[in-house]
Amino acid sequence: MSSRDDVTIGELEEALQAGSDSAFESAFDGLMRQARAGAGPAPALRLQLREQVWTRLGIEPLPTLPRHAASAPARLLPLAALPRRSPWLSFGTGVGLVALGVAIGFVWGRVPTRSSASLDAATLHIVDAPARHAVGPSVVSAAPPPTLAPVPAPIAEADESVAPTLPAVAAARARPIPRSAHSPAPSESAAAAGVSGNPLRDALETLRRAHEALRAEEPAMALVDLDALEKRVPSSVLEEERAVTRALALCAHGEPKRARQVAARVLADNPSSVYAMSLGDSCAGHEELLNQMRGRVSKPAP
Amino acid sequence: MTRAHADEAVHEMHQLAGPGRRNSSAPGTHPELGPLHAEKLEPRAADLPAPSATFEDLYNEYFDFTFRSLRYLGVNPSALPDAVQDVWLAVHRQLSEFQGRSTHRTWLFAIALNTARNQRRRERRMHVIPLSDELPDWRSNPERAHADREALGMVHEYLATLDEPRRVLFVSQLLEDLSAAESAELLGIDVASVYHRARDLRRSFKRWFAARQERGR
Repeated sequence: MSSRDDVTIGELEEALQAGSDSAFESAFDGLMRQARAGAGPAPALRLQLREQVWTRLGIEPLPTLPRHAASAPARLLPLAALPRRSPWLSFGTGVGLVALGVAIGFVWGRVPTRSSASLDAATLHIVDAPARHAVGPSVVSAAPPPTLAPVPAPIAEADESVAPTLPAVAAARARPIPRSAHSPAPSESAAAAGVSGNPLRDALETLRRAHEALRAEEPAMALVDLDALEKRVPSSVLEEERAVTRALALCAHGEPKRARQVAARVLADNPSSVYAMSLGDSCAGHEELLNQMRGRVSKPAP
Repeated sequence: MTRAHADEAVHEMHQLAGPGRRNSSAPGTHPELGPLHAEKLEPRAADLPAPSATFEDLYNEYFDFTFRSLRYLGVNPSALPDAVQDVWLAVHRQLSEFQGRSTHRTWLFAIALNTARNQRRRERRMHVIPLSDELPDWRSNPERAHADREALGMVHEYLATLDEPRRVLFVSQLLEDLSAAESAELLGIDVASVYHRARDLRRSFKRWFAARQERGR
């Protein structure tokens, strides 16, 4: 039996009954990988905890959400509402994008649930601290740490009964998106993209728009947004999320080879990526990539 | 938690691990175990402490590792968010004192281990009844998610039968794939002993699994 990720308890028992030490060892290794995959934090929890740790340490206070954000008409769309016949949006990938979208929505304070009213009351607000603090081990915070409103209840899954609205996509369609080799002037790109200039918020907003474009089956628009983001915001900001979104957009755009290249880079840089399953379920999930996900290719020490 | 606490955690592990020759085996072929895999002997280059690693670098790289480690080490799922925050607050406090004598993973694991102990002590004092081991599942593939949960549940069940040094070895070697040198550092034993005990743990798991399946019939 070769090492695989999807080892079940039953297969472990079969190996035991077969009396094959090597088969049991192989199944055991697979069991360990699965247990490891099952032990990590959810993306939303990861983001939440990062914010909380950063806030407690006073390292990088997050920007104050603009007042209108709480009542912004655009909201994250439940992927499950999209037609299932979409060739690139398998259920697995869709729910994976929901997880990413929920994580993004969590940071913004808007999460699709069955009770939007109750969620509004519990929206997470992060208040800006008076001054920025340096990042690093010797941070000393002179200002009082930012305060957090009560954290919302555990994030519910997307409500399949909610009809999708596409105000943001419609706005994006109306917006001219030139494919220019030149970087747009910051004020122009900010105005065109409707973002604040803050790198993290810019990246989050762009990813949200890209996901909306993917849900609207407009991967070209998503790729344009991602390309523009590359020029505006350092690649280190939400690097993994940007790459995953790009891989999925390339799949939808009919570019599986490029999608696999991007996905392979994601997993090479992030062997324990929480998006590994989503990538595996997409057009980028071929055997070589799956082997890379398993992360058991033994390489000689440098 | 201070640096002293983290050091104390490592020292306690050394005591609990029992006698073992430290670093007396040269890499190569062990008379009992056969060829020792070179890539497992020493920490991987990527895991060696980088002089310029910032707190954010470490957090991005190892957050999931500390989360999983706390989980394996018996922290109640409902207490995991607080526990992992405690770990990283301790890391932040101690990072300036980290001298690179061990890898970051070894150091972080030791902090996680101490945090897990403190958490368990608090729960015992407060008579906290452990909740279900399940956290809300978020993965995209429900079937894989179920298989992963099943695997994790079984591993947890087995880990509960181990004393702390063996649990640490199982987690570090068999679950988190630390190098033999890193596990040796954590436990204060030599690399050959790490291999020997890891092999014993595999056999122990097999016996445990067989007995478990037998009871289930």
